[in-house]
Amino acid sequence: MGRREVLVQLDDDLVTRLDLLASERGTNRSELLRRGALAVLDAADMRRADDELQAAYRRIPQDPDVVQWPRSCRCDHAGVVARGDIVWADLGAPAGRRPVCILTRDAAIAVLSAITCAPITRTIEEFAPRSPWELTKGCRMRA
Amino acid sequence: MGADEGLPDASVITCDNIVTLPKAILAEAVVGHLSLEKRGALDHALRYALDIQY
Repeated sequence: MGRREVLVQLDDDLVTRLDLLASERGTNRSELLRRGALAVLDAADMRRADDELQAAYRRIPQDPDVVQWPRSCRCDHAGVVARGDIVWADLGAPAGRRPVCILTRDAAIAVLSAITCAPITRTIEEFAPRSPWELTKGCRMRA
Repeated sequence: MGADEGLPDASVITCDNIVTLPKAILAEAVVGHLSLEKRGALDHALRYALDIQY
């Protein structure tokens, strides 16, 4: 990929901090600025993707059959949740009432009426290998 | 996971059994939240569970 020299004006303090970080990381100022520019562009892409996703779901709501499943779930009132939240939910038989962890990304939660969750269980021993890494390998996340 | 996440007992998230739930059934207040570190571990486990390789 071709490269071009670009003149950028930075505050003295910013240059000092960049140089300090560069020497800590064994890299240089230009490389840090390249990474910074990429991070800004990535964030803008993600923001655009969130906006497009929300607009798409507003145009075409979720399939009602998917939203209604499972019908055995008890409906009370809608709570406000975010990704990574732990919430109690009644999953119906046989799973019953148990905590779940919210997995859907926040931008989508705002516009969906059904969201993805991972059930939480106390049943560790019968599946649990010995180390946290093995727990991860077994697809169970434990502190 | 456990008390730090508002759970009464030591527990695990089962990434092999993820479900889609109507938002309306998440009726009760949020009892806890994953720390950034545990969220990283969860994301790792989800990648493994769903065989996301790239």
